[in-house]
Amino acid sequence: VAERACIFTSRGCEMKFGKRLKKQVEESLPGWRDKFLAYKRLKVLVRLVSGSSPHRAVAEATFVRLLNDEVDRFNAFFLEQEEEFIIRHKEVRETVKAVAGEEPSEAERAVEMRKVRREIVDLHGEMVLLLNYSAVNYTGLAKILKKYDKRTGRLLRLPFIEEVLKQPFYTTELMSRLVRECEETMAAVFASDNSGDQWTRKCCTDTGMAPMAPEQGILRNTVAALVAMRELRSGSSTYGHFSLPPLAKETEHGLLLSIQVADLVQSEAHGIVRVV
Amino acid sequence: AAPMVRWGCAVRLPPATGGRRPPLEHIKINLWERRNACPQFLMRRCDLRQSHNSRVSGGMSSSLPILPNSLKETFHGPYNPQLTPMQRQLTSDLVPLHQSALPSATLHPRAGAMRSSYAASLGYSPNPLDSAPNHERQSMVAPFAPQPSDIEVFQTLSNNIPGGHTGATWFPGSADGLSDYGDNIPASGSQIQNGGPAVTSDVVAKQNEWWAEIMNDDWRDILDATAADPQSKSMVQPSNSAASQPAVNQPASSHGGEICNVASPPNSNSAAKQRMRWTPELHECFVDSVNKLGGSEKATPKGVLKLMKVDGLTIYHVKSHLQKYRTARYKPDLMEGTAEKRTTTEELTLDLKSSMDLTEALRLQMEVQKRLHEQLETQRKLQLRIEEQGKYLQMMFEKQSKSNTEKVQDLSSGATTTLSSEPSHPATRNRDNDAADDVNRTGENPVSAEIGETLMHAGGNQEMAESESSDPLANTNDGSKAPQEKRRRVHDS
Repeated sequence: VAERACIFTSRGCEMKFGKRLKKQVEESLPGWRDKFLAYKRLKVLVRLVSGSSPHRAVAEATFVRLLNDEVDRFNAFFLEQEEEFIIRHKEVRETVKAVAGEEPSEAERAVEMRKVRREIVDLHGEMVLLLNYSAVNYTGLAKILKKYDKRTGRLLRLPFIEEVLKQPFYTTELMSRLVRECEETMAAVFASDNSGDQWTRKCCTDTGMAPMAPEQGILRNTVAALVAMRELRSGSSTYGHFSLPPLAKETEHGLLLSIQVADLVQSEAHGIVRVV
Repeated sequence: AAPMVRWGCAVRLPPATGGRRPPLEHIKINLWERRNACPQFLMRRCDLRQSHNSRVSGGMSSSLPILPNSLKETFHGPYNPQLTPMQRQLTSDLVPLHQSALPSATLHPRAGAMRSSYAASLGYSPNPLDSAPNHERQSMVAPFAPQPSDIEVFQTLSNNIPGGHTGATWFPGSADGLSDYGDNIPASGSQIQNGGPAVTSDVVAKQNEWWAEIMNDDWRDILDATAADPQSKSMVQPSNSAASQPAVNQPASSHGGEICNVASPPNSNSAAKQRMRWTPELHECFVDSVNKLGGSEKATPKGVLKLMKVDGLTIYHVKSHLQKYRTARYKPDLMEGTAEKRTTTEELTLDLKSSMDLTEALRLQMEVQKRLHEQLETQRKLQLRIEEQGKYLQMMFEKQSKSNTEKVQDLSSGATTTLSSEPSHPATRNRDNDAADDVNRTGENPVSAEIGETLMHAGGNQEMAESESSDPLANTNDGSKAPQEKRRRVHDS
């Protein structure tokens, strides 16, 4: 009974993160769903270590071991993705150059242009989602460690997080750089917009629609990530020294706007838009 | 002027009883518990006696034997290639664990950097490209690994030096940390031990039992893993030489690791277990080599490897990278083909709006993505700063408590040192950040002085005012002045 009561007080926020994480994982790209933090499992272990149960010692050891396992998993996945993004990033840039230099008919150029735009936007999206992956897992680790410390009176969080900060999956400087470069390339690709417009309209929708499926996954996940971040930052009952401040007001407004827009786009993209 | 955070505020020491020793131990314990408490507590008032005593007696003693393991886990985990299969075995026994997609473990070059950076401690900013020296790591980690083949030794370790492990659990990588905590805690550890023998030995026994069980499985796993893994993913960073690898893996090679190098020949293990991190520059080199060899279809991994001439790069790395490369190039081509077909054959009547929407949809998607990126960057910066701050506070607190206990010892031994003239202890400066140096030097004394006074006057006359320093880093500039004033105040009252 006491435990249940806790749900509404101190455990209120814990539930939220677990649920939020689950939701994000559900919305994430198919191949990624099993790559996120096993938050629930860790929470179970934390519950075990806090009591005076005979399994406490074992639970603690298991907890730490699982933490390390998770970090290893994150690293493995992250490095794999990073490697692929490096390759794809270079490729898309080459493609952009090629399209720009192409001399064939306007129609073909327009088609290529659209393809490359789709490609680069999707690549950008996936890269950002990888950064999100890193952030989400980090947050999860920090939270579960906080709980652990609280329940056991130990000081595991600080040194462990210190090490996490240096892990490959969290040292995302390279990915950030790639994302920024991608944004530059995107700006260029979308700037040269007007020339292809006429022919773009004449081209079939199918070409654009077919790859829509993965793109929707990306967009949906991105939106989910933004929403989750907003919720996370809206202030929690367990706000403390290590909690992030709420999102700034302007940011939040802009965020809401973009989310609304994104929703709109998504729903429109679902069906084929028929114009009168 | 706002004084710096007064650590002493949290320390309500019990009145001195008969002999000096026991209270001192209590003080040490209480202070240690302070550190063990959630960092948030540092900023809040709390009655140590009230909230922590129960923890001290119960929590410490029953949990101490566990620490050696936790310690190992904490610090062997991410860097321990061979531990991973074993870990999985263990965790699967206790908690169902899904299989990781990649069997080989992930000792990463950065892991190396991490550990030595931990040793060099707080001022160190790890450079991912450096191949960090391995010897220190090895020597530092070694003391904490119990000998698996010798359970009695393990028992002895956990019984006799629980405190040492306590301290070491959280900062084992730092040799300084070791000596610090080792000095402070062992006595208290043993004291607690004596205080609750039943509880402690029970748990220890259980721990050892479990440990013994585990170990048999572990060794089998390790041997299997070693034998079975044909794939050699060797360490990367082109600048690193293969020579550094064995050393990196040795301490981590198994649970009681250092012992069983026989079972796990370092060289092949390190090669097998470490993960590569590609960079755009390395990829450029790769692409150049591939092109020189006639393109992605014609080029062979062996040829590319030879042409790239990158130290530490193995054919396995190249092979898998080449595969990814081919995939990345093939798919777009495929799309292109079908698209071209479509353009020519497809009817060109099209909803104007929908095609425009397409570009617009892409633009919007782009905007949403950019926004998420932006938010992530901001969040990350914040997180880093918060952690840094926390670390800094932690460090400060430790220095305070250390110098406090030392001062207390001086007092108890009857030394008539004037508090004001007490110099900063050189020992506490070992791990100073440059930035924090000045702060520490000036900050320590007045606070210690206050604590000293509290001790001498049993009632604790001076209420340590709560100064919530939300941003101690910002105080560094004012630091030198404020404590001086504080010191004057102390002695005036």
